[in-house]
Amino acid sequence: MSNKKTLAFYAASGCGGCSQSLMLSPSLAAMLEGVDIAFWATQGADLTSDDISGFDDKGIDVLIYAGPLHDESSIDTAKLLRRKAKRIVSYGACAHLGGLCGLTNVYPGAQLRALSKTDGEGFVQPLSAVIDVDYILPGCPPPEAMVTRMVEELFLSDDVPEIGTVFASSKGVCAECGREHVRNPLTAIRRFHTDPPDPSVCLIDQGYICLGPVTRGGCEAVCLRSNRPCTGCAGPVAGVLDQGGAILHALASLVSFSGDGNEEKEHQVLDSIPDVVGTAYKYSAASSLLKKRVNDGK
Amino acid sequence: MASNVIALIPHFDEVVLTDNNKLAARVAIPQTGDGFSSYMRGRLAEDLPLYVQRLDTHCAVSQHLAAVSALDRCYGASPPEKAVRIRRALAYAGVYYHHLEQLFLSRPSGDVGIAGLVTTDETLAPTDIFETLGRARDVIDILGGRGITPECGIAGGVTKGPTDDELPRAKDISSHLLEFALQAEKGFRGSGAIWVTEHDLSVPAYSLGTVNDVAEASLYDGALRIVDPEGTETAVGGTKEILPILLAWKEDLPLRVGPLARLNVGSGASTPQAKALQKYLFDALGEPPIDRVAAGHWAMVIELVESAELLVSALTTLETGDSVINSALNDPCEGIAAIEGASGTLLHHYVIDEQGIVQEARIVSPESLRATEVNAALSSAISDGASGVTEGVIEQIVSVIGSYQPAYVPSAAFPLRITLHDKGGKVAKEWRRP
Repeated sequence: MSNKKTLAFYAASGCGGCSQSLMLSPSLAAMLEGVDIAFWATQGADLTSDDISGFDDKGIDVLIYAGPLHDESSIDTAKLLRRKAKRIVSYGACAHLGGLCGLTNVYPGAQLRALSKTDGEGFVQPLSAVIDVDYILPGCPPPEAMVTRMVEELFLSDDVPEIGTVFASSKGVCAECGREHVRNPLTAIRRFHTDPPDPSVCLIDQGYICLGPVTRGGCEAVCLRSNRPCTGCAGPVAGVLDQGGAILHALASLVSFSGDGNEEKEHQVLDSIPDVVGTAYKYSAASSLLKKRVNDGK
Repeated sequence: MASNVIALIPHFDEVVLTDNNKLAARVAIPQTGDGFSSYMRGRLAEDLPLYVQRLDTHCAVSQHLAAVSALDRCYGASPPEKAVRIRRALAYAGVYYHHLEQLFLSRPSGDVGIAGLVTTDETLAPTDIFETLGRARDVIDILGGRGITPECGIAGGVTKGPTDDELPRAKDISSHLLEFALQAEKGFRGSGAIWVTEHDLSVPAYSLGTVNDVAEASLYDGALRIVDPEGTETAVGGTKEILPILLAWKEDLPLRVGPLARLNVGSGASTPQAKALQKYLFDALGEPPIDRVAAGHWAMVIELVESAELLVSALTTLETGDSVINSALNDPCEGIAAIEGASGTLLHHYVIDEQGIVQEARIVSPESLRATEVNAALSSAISDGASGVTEGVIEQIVSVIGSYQPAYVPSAAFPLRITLHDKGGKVAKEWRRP
């Protein structure tokens, strides 16, 4: 009998990016040498609930779960998988936070049902809202460095990672960015497509909205290296519950005009933040304190 | 106008089989037009390239670039030539990545197993395939700022150019990619080509694709062209000319998009080695237009070589440096753009308000266009209703879908449902692939 760990990969739905990020990891070959594959749901054989039920309870050593939960069926499957797996990794932004699909929660029900990715009630939830999750690998899709860390700690090391481990930095993206801080007060919100930034200076210091301060690092600030702001795909830094609330709080604290009587100006700057939900909660709407839009009857 | 444009979240779908004396089947593609637009309404225009590529990351580069092209039009932007060259190189890298993944890693369905066929060439080890796919991803990372989901696209240009260190590395990698593609094509010709010739399901269809200035197939931009099943041109032009035709397309008229369609709409491949290799396909199946369904796999293998050749050539034209943006933008308005995506022609249509906020965002995807051809293939393959709904019928359906799988991108990532209805319309059986 093989003494290898049993690995399963399950993608609830989604764009396929999580599966690709795992398959393209340079450490994949080493990982596969040390495991027996129970199933690989997006690339392997057809898989039904009956198939999953056929596994012994706790018969799968590690299950990597990607994709959001969006209906009763996906919730039932997640619960079934929880029974079958000793350890579950919440892999990628959709499983971790609800991901971009979570933005559908802010629409009224009729519009939700028109979105083909969210059939049924269309209420998107992260995996941890339904079952206990042992580990988290953030990112949309998870960057190579984080995937490598997960593989090494989970499959190539003799030590078992502590339950609750997030295979990312506990610090923010800012710690990896390297842009110069000029500490300018925030007096206007700028949009980078109409008003390109200085590539060497902190985007927030230039007036752009960047979620770097409130987002877990470990990605080597990949988006900022492309002169794009961090959009928060790795979720909130350790200790922060609501990523969107945290960035809005941070921005509010930076708005400043010299002299007295400028409260109105400060409000104007904050009111000018466009698409607050899509900007501050792009990936985390489903796991935020906002939860979902309530139909107000209007 | 906006409400008439087909929109699709490329979520693969449902095959419905109706037992009505004669069996029939169809692929149901959601075309409500409202779902994705509702989702995007109120979002930032500059975020569109980020959202759309996550609809389907197998085609992420194509979606990203289509979004950027549409935003150029919304803002009346004129990207500098340097930025256009970076986008073009990125597009070729994206086609290579997509084709390699689809040919080797997509889950075969039914009796279709192109990966198995190609890898009968013992010189192509699975580790080579993963390594090469990773290298293609690295080129996307260099040119697009992030592998799998690029970040660089912006109205008027790109936010990132390759650095002094990155450009030579990309060139080295592209040489490897070409070498690998040639090896894969050789392996395919040894075994996969036999499989293609043995699978004789044919669907005469119109073909839609993009052609360059000399009427060769284009893998990025150019004129849209439609030819009929005999190869006669029925339409040519830009989105203004072609989009109305597509919107009025009749469901019973098969339309082909993707690698085989690209061979059919023009005078063939645009690069020397791909031109030479397509002759083997023509020798086996005849000159274009080719209507053999399984030939789509062969055309994709040829395009693997072509995209690598184009990438090698495009990289020689690039310069290093930071962002390349012409930020002289007009007030935003409506914009429509088409690019030749990896899996077929792709059209994006946006309406942006004066604050740079999305009001409408609609996509005409290869999957929605291709549905007419898949339905015709299903009708051809499933004709015997005497035994009713049987496991054999399911296998037939799966086999047809499998024939399109390498080009039928979302089917690899999304659930497939086959719902079987009895004569009374009740659901007799449901088969589901997670």
